[in-house]
Amino acid sequence: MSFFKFIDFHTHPFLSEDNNICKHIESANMSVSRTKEIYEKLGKTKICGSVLSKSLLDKPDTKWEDVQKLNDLALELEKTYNGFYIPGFHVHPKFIKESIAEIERLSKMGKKLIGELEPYRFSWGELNYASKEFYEILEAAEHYKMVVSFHTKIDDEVAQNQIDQMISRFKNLTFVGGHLGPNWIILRHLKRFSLNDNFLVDVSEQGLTRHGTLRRVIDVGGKERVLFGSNFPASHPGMWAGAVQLDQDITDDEKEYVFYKNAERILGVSLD
Amino acid sequence: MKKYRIIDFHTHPFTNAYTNICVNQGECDMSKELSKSCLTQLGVEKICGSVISPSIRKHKPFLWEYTEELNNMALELREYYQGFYIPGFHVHPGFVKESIKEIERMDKLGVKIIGELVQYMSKWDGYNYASKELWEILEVAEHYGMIVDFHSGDNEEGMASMDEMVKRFPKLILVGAHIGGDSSLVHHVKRLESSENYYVDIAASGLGEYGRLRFLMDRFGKERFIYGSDFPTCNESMFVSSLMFDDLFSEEEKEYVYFKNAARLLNIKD
Repeated sequence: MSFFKFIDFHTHPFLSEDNNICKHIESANMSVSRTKEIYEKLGKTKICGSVLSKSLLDKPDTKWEDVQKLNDLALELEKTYNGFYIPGFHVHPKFIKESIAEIERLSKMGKKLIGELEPYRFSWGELNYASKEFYEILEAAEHYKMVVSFHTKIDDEVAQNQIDQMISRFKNLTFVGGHLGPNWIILRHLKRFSLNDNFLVDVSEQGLTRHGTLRRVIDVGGKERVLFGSNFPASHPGMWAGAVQLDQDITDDEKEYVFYKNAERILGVSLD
Repeated sequence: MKKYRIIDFHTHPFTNAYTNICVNQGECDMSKELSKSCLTQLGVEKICGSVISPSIRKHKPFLWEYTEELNNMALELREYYQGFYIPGFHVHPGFVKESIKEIERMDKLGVKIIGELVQYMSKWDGYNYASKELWEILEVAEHYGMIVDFHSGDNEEGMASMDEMVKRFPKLILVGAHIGGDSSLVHHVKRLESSENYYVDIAASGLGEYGRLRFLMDRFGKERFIYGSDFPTCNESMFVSSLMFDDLFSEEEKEYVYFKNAARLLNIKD
């Protein structure tokens, strides 16, 4: 194959089955080494994103140790993958001091990416993207010039309004809305482009499945505001990469920006 | 990049904006001509499916003629596309006599696909796939050797009614459209087990779950799954890419899903 060239901005690499969000782990024949193999067969690629835990979904109260453990796993995977993986890490509004210390720690190590943050998976409870507790953490993120990737496919108008408030408040912070989502959320994303010049979206999961969506998003936001993402291992990156590469309404120049130039720019990395 | 021969079993070709179900149609360049060139560039040699319109459910009362109009548009498009499009037509459990007449009419015209039937779009209020009215129609469909493609996503009760239908008609070729979510998957497995003439068309939802099609194929073989994209609502470039770049599938399996299974059901010579 070796057909593609991209940075998959939205993945959740795994070390164990608990971290692996694929619903058919056995059928997909998954392992740490096979992750890299899948991507290498597709072409010249890198991946980004946070490590998740399925067992945390059932825990009523996430502890900071749970969060830090996943961040440390991400660092471990970064070492294992030797340049292939750009880790994203978690923060949590119930643990402000700890989150800020984590940002400082990881910034010293040259890390830039927070997220993908998934509030529903980490029992944020009543706290949300517009909570003052979370804003305290984002102030630190802004200070350290982080990139914040966050889950946006929340089927709730109030939550979508909270996202708008957050990105309007922090205009100097680079935000990446994770997932295009169903049509009504895509329309919200299109409005967000005008709320913050540093707001981008990644095309993982639902949304790119619709004919004409990518064209529409680029027409409104511009080619520099859209990032390639697949949500691997929930999805196969080849299907999402093909969706962009074979889309006859997208120019080759736009594809390059979506596939890797935008990720290179905001993360300060190079695919080469 | 390798190009595969493809029959897109699940599309909804359109004649105008009323029948174009793409949510982005105002934003992108769409026409009958462009549809064909867009699909053929991806390797699609033929498309199948019904003409649908979300607007028809607004009609009060709902009359048979609204369904018949869509079927006539499908025939018009067959004429227009000159061999590229294999039409599917609608029947409706609220209009048993009319649906049976329609099957007879379509059979005379050489049309063998009923569907995709989209119950929520066609106002099947009060009916489901286990309704005796639908079964009266399906007995005729079976008699004429039709293939019935139906939207398989629904609530539990709806999906259970589909299970009953598949069990009741083991000789009828029934194609469940969309792999769907976790609960749909359970029902597809039941149906694949209960009838050798049950197939799944892989358009749209469910195919994006990594390993899901592999899971199904490991249990039921390569001959039960048919490629579809649900164009123009869905992004055909994504669905064409579904198996193309996935090393979980052998070349032979890809060929069967992309082309051979549909060709076999539709009697298309290689």
